[in-house]
Formats: sequence, C-alpha cells, structure tokens
Amino acid sequence: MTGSGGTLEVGLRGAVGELRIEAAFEARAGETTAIFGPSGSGKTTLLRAVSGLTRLSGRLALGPDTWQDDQRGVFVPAYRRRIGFAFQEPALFDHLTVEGNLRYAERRSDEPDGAPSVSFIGVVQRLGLDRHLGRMPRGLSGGERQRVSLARALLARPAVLLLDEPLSGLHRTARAAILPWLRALGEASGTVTLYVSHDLGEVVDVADRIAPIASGSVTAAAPAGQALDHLPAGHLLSRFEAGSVLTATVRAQLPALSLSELDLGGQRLRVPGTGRPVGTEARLRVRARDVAVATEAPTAISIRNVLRGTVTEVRDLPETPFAEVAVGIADQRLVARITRDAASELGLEAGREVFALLKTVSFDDA
Amino acid sequence: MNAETLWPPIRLTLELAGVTTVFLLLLGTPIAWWLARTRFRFREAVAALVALPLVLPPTVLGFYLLIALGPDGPGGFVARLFGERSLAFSFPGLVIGSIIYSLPFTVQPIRSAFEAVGDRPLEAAATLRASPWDAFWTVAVPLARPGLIAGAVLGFAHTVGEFGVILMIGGNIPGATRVLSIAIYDHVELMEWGTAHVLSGSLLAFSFVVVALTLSLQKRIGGRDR
Repeated sequence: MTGSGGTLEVGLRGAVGELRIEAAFEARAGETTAIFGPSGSGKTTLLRAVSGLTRLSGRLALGPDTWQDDQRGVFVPAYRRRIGFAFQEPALFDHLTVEGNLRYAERRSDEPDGAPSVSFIGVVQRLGLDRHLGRMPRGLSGGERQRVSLARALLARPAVLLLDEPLSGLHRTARAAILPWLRALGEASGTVTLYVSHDLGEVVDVADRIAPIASGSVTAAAPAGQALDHLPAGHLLSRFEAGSVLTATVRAQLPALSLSELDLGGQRLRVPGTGRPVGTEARLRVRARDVAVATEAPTAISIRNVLRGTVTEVRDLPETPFAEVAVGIADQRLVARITRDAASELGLEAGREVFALLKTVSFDDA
Repeated sequence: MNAETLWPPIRLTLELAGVTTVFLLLLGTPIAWWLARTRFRFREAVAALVALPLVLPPTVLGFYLLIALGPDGPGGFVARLFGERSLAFSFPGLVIGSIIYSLPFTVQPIRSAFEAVGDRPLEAAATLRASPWDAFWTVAVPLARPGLIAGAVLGFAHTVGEFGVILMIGGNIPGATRVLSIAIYDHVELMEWGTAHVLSGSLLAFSFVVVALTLSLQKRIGGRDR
C-alpha cells in the first residue's frame, strides 16, 4: 500500500433499486473503519460508490484528491482511483494463475517493485498462498479464492482499501489470524481501510472505528469502543462477543466527576454519565472482555468498579484460548471472558467467591 | 484434370477467405463488444441489421451489392480514386461482399463470449487500475478467446462456401473472381465429373473439420460457467 493519501471524506446519497443511500462520514488514514450492519443495509453499494463502480451523487475526496464532486462536475473513474477492492464474491481472472492474478495487480500499482510493508512474498506467505501460486482459480476452494482476492487487493498497494466481507468463507480461527495482521498492515502503510461486515466478532477484531449502517444510512464513524456501547444490547449478547446487562439503582450524581453512583445489590458502582434521576433504575452493559476476575480483593488499582460475587459457571470457548466465567452478583449474572489458562490457575469453579473487576461499564441506552 | 485447372480457384478462395477473415475480426470484434456491453435501447435493431444476411437470399444481397459497388454507386466512386471504373467483378469487391455476407457468423459467437465474461472481471480490473482499453486486451479478450476463434473459423468457412453473392458481384473471371464453389459449378456444367468430385470432396472434408472444431470450442465456452 502506498501510504497516506489523507482522510477519506464521504458525502454520498442516491437510490439504488429500493434502497436509499445516505452516507456522510470520514475514514482516516492508517485506521480500519468497519461499516457494520445487517444484510441489505447498503454496505456493498456504499463500497461500490466509493470505488467509482457505482455512481451516487454528492462529494467524495481522499485528502487533497477529489474523486467526485457533482457541483464541479468531477467524477474520477474507478481505474484512476488508488483503491484495492476485495469483493464478497471473489472476481478472480479465470484465465490467469493465482500468481498471474496477483502480478496483474502489482504491475499496475504505483510501486511495482514493492513497498516493504506489502511485499509480494510477505502477502503470499501470510495468506498461505505460497503453495497455490501455480494453480488456476477455478480449482480453488471458496476460502482460497477469497484469500487470493484479498491478496490481490493488497498488492494493488491502494490508498483506500475496500473489503466487502473478505473473509466470510474462512474458518473463524483462520480469520482471527488474518484480521490483526490486516489491521497492522493498514496502520503501517497509512491506508484508509473500509471493512464491511455483518459479523460483530469480526468488526471488534479489526476496527479502529465503527460506522453503523441501517437502511442505507451512515452518519458517523465513532471509535470502536464507543460505537459498540451504542449498539443495541441484542447485538452484543447474540454474538460470541458476549456481554451482560445489569440492573442497578441510581444513588447519587457526581457532576464534578461526570459520574453517577449506582447501587447493585448493596454494592457500589460508578458509571460515566449523569443524566439519570436519583432513585431510578438503570440498565448497564458490560462486555465480557472488559471484566477481569480476582480471587482476593484487589488494592491499589485504577479500576474503580469491583463487585463481589460467586462463580456460577465456567465454560471453555472451543478453538479459542478463552473461557467464559459467569459470576452471580445478588440475583444478577455477569459474564467475564478470561483465558482458560487464568481460569485454571485461579482454580475457578462453581461456588467460588470472586471479585469481578469491571474495566468499562456504560448505560445501556446511553 | 490437372494442377493448372485445380489450383487457381483454390488459391483464390483461400486468399479471399483469409483477407475477409482478417477484416471480419477487425470489424466484428468491436461490433460484438458493443452489442454485448451497450445499454442502447435499439441495440437489438442493430443486431438484426448485422444478422440480416442470415436470412436474405444471397441473390438479393448480391443485387444490392452489385448496384453499390458498380460505377454509379459508392463503390464506383472509390474505384475511380484508384483509376478503376467499378469495384464489381474485382477482388476488393468480393472482399467487401464477403465481409457483409459473413459478418453475422463472426459477430454472434464473439458477442456470446463477451456476454459470458460479464461485468465482474472487468470491474475487478478497473479496481486494479486497468483502463478500459487495458482491461479489454488483458481480461475480456483472453476470457472470450474461444468465442473469437469460433468467430474467425466460422467467418472463414462461410466465405469459402459462398456462391450466390459472388456470382452476382464477381461473375466468373478465372484467377480474379472464379472461386472454388463457382469452379465446381462450372465443372458440373461442363460434365467434368472427376474434377467436380475432387473439389467437392475436399470442401466436404474441410467443412466437417470446421464444424467439429467449432462445436468443441463452443463446448469450452459453455464449460466456462460451470
């Protein structure tokens, strides 16, 4: 990838079939912005519009380069935009070998000799394609085709990398190995990466920022943690990125600290935000990975919210290093995601008294 | 029967078919590409115009061509630039007539092959910074190659077998317009059965090879989607 072209400013609207697209957001160089939403919400159309394959109206610019500006009559065709695009259905060239497909992209990139961060051999090895270079695309499996397609998009050394569910055909463990690398690659090369997905787990692993999309409308890209906390709880609880919803009573407002103090079964919690009247009930959301578990009361620690409870269940998550620990607090249930290694070292099992450390808590409807 | 009577019409036929095929590809490929890609409303009307020689009696086509190529037509105007009176009854005239007559046989398989390529590979090429011209040569043409070969083979073969149009616009001038099919007709008229047998038998074998080749190529195009 050829490094920073600057911030991608998207201001596009238009109708494609039944769907009305309304997109206004920015995506920064070196960051991965996930466009996250259900099927049929316009994610693919939005990527196509950014690439120039589909024409909507409005304005689109990458740093100083204007790609589209209807008021000035500017529309740069797709082949003059510094993009890489991995389609959901890989569109490989059937008349070329895997290597031929990759070289096709590399030869036409701005740096045919290869930037160090995305060398041909580096990409090929990381995506496990070294053994397949001489094969024809038609003989490849679906997952292999997707990896070739992704490699080809990377070797175009784009300023804007457009990924449309690029790993949907891969096994979760294979995906988990690729996503952090992809993110690091984008960061190192200063690429604007737009990553379309409907899989929250994938989004959490890859995104610096998340731009939720619903019925064709994208209005902002927020930092990942913040955006996740704004998602409806159903999203969080239904996917492998588990979380818990707790109910607590507002005890006091601490405006000087921008915090509210809450009571949960006699224990005290402090949560950002002061909007709730004292005495009302509030729903809190806690992501499982934001909960740590200790067997003794921790001292001298920055985490302010520590709840005492009893382990009700320890469940290993297959094919991951993690386990989920359910902790009963009063009559409520809090889920922590910790490593299996830690769970066994601490001797966690049902009935054990523990302290749950909550790194981040937020109001459910904040 | 000797080489001097057999050879000139064969050579003339191969020359005519060869030159015609080159022009068919040069002309037919862009037409096929346009027909496969355009969203122009009257696209099928243009396609019908190209396909017209399939159903038009060769004598009708030949009649109009004769007028067009003759001294009073546009062909005559062009001919005068080169110091001739007319393009009718000349080799260039035969080439022009053959191109029009064989065009549908070249355009149709190439158009189908381009349509089978579809948008996706071309869009992928565009995202890899291939200009439309670049993508045409490096993606569309290689993917449509069986169709291009089929178009060339059918155009060539159809020109070899031409009779009616040539008789109308070329007459029967030995060494200039007397092609194989007309030579066979002459030999039969003169009751030279032996010569007619040799030439007809060769054309029969040639035609069989062409059809077999084309069918196997079309099978390869069909196999592309599976």
